[in-house]
Amino acid sequence: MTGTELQLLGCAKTFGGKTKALLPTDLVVKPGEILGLLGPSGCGKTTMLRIMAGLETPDAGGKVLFDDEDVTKVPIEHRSIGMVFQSYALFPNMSVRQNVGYGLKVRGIDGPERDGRVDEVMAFCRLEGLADRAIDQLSGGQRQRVALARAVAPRPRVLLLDEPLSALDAALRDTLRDELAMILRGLSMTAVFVTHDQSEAMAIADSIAVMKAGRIEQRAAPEVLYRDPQTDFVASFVGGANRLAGRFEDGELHLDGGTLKTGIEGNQPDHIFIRQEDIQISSPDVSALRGTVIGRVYLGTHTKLTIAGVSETPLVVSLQGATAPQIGEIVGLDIPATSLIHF
Amino acid sequence: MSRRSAFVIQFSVTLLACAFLLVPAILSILAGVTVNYFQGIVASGVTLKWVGQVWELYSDTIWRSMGIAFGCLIITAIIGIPAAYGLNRFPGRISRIVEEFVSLPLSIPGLALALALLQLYGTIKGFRLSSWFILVGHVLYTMPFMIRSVLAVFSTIDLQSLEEGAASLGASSWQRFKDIALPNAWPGILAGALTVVTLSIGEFNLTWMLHTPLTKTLPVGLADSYASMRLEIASAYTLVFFVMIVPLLAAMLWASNKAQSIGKPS
Ligand SMILES: Nc1ncnc2c1ncn2[C@@H]1O[C@H](COP(=O)(O)OP(=O)(O)O)[C@@H](O)[C@H]1O
Ligand SMILES: [Mg+2]
Repeated sequence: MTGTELQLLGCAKTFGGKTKALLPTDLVVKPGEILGLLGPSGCGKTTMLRIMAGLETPDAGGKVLFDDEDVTKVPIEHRSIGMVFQSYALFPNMSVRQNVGYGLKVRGIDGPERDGRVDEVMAFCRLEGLADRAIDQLSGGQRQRVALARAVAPRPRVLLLDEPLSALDAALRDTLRDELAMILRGLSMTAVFVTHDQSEAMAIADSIAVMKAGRIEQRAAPEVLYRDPQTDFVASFVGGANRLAGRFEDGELHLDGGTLKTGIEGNQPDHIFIRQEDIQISSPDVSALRGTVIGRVYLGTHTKLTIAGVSETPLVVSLQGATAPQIGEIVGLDIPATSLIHF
Repeated sequence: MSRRSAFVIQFSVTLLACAFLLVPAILSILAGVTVNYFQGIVASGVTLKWVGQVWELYSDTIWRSMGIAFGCLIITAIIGIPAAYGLNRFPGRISRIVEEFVSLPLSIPGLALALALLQLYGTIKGFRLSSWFILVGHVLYTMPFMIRSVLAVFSTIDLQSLEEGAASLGASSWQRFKDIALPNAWPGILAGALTVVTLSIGEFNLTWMLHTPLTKTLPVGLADSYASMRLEIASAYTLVFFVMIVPLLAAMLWASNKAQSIGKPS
C-alpha cells in the first residue's frame, strides 16, 4: 500500500483546564488504511481529528507522527493534509473549479497543470459539468463531493473527514455513503473518517476505533467488532445488541420473562448481550422465555419486533423470512446459548 | 371601517409626510435656479447663473470635501478592515472593550470631540491650519461605522471554518485574509465605505469647530453662504450639495441591503 502512516502517541486534549475532550490516546493508522472513528456525539471524535490535522495542539507530552516525522508543532498549512469539514466550508466567493483548484493555487501550481489536475479530480468525484457553478447552486450531495475533491486535489499525505454525510438528507445518505466508500477506496490514501453512525463506519472503514467519553474502547475490523465486541458499549453501540439483566444461578439467567440457559460456568456476569438477529420466535407454550410484542416494523428483507416483559428494557428482534407475529401477541423466545455475548 | 377607506387614509398620510419632507427641499432647489426669488420663478425665469457663481466662490470647498472624504475612506479602510478582522478572529472581553472604545466617538458630541482635538493638537500650527486636521477628526468620527459594518458581515459568515478550510489546503494567514476574508466581507466593506464617504461629506458640527477660513468644507461653506450671500446663491449651493450626496445615499442603501442579504438563501 502507498501512503503515509499516521500515529498518535499519548495525545490528550483538555479544554479550558477542565473539559477532558480526549484522554491520552495511542493510535496507528497504516499507510492507505481507512480508519473510522465511531462514537456518540461529544465523545471527542472531532477533537482527535483536529489534533491530527493540526487545528488543535495535544496537551503536553502528546505527539503526532506522519511516517517518522514529528509534526506535532507543524501548523496545519504545512502538514499537507486534506480535510472535509462537517459543514464542508466551501468558499462562497469561488466557483466549483476555483474551490477544487485552491489547494493547487496556493502551492503556486497554475496554468494547464492546475486545470488538468482539477479536471481529473472532478471527474473522479463525478463533478463533470459543474465546474463553473456557484456553490449556492449545488445540491447537498454535490457540495459534499466538491469538498472531497477540493481536499484530495493537492494529493495530501492524509485525508481527514468529519462526519461528511451528516449534513445530507436521510434519503440521500445511503446512496452517497456507498459512493463515498468507493471513491475513498479508489484513492488508496491514508484516511480517517469520523461518524456517529455505525452503519456508515461499517460501510466505509477498513478498521474502526469505537470511542466513548474521550477514550478508544476497541479498535478492530468491522466484522471483528460486530462478532467479538470487547465491552458492553461496543456490543450495544456497534452491534445494536440487546442487554439482558437478571439474576444468575447455576448457569441460568433468571429474567422477568422466564429463564435462559446460558451454559456459562464459573465467573457469572449479571448481564449478557444477544444480537437482534440471533433470537428466534417460537410458541409461548414450549419456550422457557416469554414476552409481548409491542412494536412491529416491516422492512422488506426483515421485520423488526419490539418485545416487552422479557428484561428491564424492551428487546429488539430482527426476524428474517418467517411470518412475524402481530402487536399484542404473546410469543416465546429461543435464544441459543452459543450466540450469547458476555465479558 | 372598510379596507378601502383604510387604504385611502394610509395613502394620504404617507403622501402628506412625503410632501412635508420634500416640499422645502424642492422649493430651496428651485430657488437656486430662479433669476429673482422675490419675483418668483414664473415671472423672472430660470437661470444657471447662481450655480456658476457658487462654483466660482466655493469650488475649493467642494474639492476639499471630496478630498477629505476620499482620504477618510482610504484611512478607515486600511485601519478598519484589519481591525474588524482581528476583532472577529479573537472574540472575547478585550475585543469587546476595544470595540466599545472605537465606538466612543459615536456617543460623544462632535463639538466635544473637536474641542479635544484642538486642545491636543491646536498648538502644532502647520497641522492645525491644514485640511489634515479636519481629516483626522473625520477619521475618528467615521471609523466605527467602517468597523461595525465589516464586523456585521463577518458575523453572518462562518469565517473560522472557511479559514480552517483554506489553511488545510495550505494557505498562509495572508492568503487566507486576501482570498477568503476580504472577498466574503466585500458587501460589508462597500456598505461601510459608502457610509464613511456620505458622513464625511455631510459632517458639520465637528468640521465647523476645526476649520479655518482657508479650510472650509462644503457644509461649512453652506452655512457661510446662508449667513452672508443672497438667497439664490445659498440655494444653488444647496442644489450642488444635493447632486453630490443623493447618489451616494442611494448607493449606500443598495449596498447595505446587499450586505444584509448575505448568508440568507438566495
Ligand atoms: N473548543 C472547545 N472548547 C471547549 N470545549 C470543547 C471544544 N471543542 C470541543 N469541546 C468539548 O469536548 C468534547 C468533545 O467534543 P468533540 O470532539 O467535538 O466531540 P464529537 O466530535 O465526538 O461530537 C465535548 O464535550 C465538547 O463540548
Ligand atoms: Mg464532531
